[in-house]
Amino acid sequence: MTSPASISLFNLKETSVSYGDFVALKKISLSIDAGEKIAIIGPSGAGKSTLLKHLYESQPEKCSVIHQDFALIKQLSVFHNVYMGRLNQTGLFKNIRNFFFPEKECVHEIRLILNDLEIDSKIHTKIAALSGGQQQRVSICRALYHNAEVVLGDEPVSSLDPKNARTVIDKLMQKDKTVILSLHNVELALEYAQRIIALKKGKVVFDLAADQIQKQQIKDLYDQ
Amino acid sequence: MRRISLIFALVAIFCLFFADLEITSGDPSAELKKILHGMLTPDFSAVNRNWDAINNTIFFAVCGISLGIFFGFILSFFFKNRLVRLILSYMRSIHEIFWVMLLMNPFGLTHFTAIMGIAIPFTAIIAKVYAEIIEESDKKCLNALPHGTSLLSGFLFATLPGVWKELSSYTAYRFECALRSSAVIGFVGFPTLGYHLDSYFKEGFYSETAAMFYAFLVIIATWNYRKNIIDTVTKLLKTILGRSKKQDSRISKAINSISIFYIPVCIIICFSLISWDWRFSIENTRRFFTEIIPNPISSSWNTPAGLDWNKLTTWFNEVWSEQAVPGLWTTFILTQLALVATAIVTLVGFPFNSKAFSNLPVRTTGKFTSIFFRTVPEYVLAYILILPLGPSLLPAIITISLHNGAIIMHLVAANADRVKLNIDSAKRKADLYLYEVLPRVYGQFLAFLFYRWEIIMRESAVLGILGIATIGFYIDSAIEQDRLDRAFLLICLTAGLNMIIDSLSGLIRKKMKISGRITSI
Repeated sequence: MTSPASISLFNLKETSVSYGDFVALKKISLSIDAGEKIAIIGPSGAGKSTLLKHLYESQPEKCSVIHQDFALIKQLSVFHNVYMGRLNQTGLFKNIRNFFFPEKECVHEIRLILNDLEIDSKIHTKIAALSGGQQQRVSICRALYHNAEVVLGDEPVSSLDPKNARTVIDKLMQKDKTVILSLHNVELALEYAQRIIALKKGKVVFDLAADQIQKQQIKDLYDQ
Repeated sequence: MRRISLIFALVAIFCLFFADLEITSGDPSAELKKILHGMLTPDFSAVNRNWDAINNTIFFAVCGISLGIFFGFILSFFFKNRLVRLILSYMRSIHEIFWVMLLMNPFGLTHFTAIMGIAIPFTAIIAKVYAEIIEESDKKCLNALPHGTSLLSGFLFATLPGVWKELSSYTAYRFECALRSSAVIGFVGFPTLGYHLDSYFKEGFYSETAAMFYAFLVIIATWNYRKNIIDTVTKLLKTILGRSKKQDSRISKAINSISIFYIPVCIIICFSLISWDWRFSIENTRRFFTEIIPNPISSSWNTPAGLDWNKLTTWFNEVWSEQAVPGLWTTFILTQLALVATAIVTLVGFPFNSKAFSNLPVRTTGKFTSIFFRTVPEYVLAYILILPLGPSLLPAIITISLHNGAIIMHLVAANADRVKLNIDSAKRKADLYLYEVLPRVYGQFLAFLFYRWEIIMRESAVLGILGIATIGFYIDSAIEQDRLDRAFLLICLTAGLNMIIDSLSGLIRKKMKISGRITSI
């Protein structure tokens, strides 16, 4: 899947990841280039989240993450939660200031990102008052506001209805970034990703361009 | 849990054989009648005459707790460091009264001494509890922060919002404790409420004593019910001034702003009003540090022969056998008896505070009684009870168990109210208590009880100042005789025993997999 001119971001060679005695990833080899739009699919327990975690840990400074459980602070507003995406890029004084008195420019910048996912009207609402779907969109906005080279998403649309899920995935894939998402929804993966990495029991079953995948391969992947 | 309860009960029975529980006073009925009369006929002119003492009680508490919060908060970030933990453990194992008695020597009977006496142990306990609260907070959000986020920014955004409620309710509870400590240090000469309670009581002016005592209860109640007071004031202002929704919202906004800023403003006012005349002199400090060193060592500095080991051994043996051993032994006996008595008071008392067992009038009476006993400093209660009962362990056991039992029963009752009873639950109250509620709240009850164990030990030690033969009695006597070296050694040994009990309590809670921290009442 690597073209000679492209810049390789991640290079895994015979990589294994274990939790105690349990081997979550078994001798995986793959390479991911800048700008690729990838979906990781596979049944539950296949190692999708572990692979994402491993990719993040190999280059944390280049990645932003959309967490499966959102990882939001319920006591804070949407603004604050999205602002947290850039805590590492701003000074302590500015962070303290924005915690108590948000700056107009920051609010404007964050409103634009929220607007993209149609949640800008909730900018000053506390997370606890939002629905699961709205919280998930805030979590995505935070990852986008982080503005990292790579967006890693662990089931980023699991709490959205099908229409909203499509819109969000579409917008994510259009970003000028490397996007790697683990998805349960195979249809969505095939429709929006350029490349599909299929995992089963910690091993790569296939790693192909989306338009090369046969229905039987998908069926085999999810069959016990 | 049954086994550990049984062990502690057996230890208490064993301790009973060594405990002096004799009622030693003559016929105190005449004096008791006078006290009761005084309680019913308070002379509030005494409050007017001693307004300064009330102010000082509040000022010392505010300044002491503010310093405690400031340093405790900073130290909570270093709590994982073993040395920091050890130093803090030592600092908090010494009661506020012992701290002021020690600090009095270099700094005199000044406001500075009073404030530091509160601030030092409060710093240590706040650091510990803040660190525990932060440690137990949800780490999901902290782990989700972008790589390279500074520790402080991460704390501000990802940790503080989640723990703020618990931190602030614990701090509010601590302030109530600081008010009690501030009042109590008056008994050793500081110009707070305790000073006047002591002098009026000793002179037999019970109406004046009662008035000062009620003034203290009002201060605590004002703090505890501050939210209700703010709500009532808001409603009252809206009724009087609000003629439209706009005016109502302005009033709410104004009250909100005041309620946010009144605490920092109060702190600034208190710090600016206290006297910073701390009479510090290098000579006093040098003398203090010389005097707390065992006399055979410090006196050997000026003799060419150097340290006489025989003298030092004799000095140590004397303090150890004549003061430390009997003092610590009695402290231990009192602690164990008071701990079990606290358990009994709690288990008997909590149904009177719980919806599952009591109707509204009984519950209201129960709650009022428990609020009363947890508000009154145990030192004050023991002081009053010693008059009719004499300075045996009996008034101390009653006092400590009532004070701590009242605190724990309130929390256990709240847990009992959270138990969801089925429609076919036991109908008889006794069955309900034994089969449905007690088994479900017992673990938490034990956790709270063991959490208070080291506090009960500190209280047992300090009640010695009132003449009960615990270690506090020997410390007080040593300070009175100006033998600071003895006092210091005894304080260190008390701190050591306290640290052992604290570790043992932690171990038991860990082994029994029960957790419970008292962070608010």
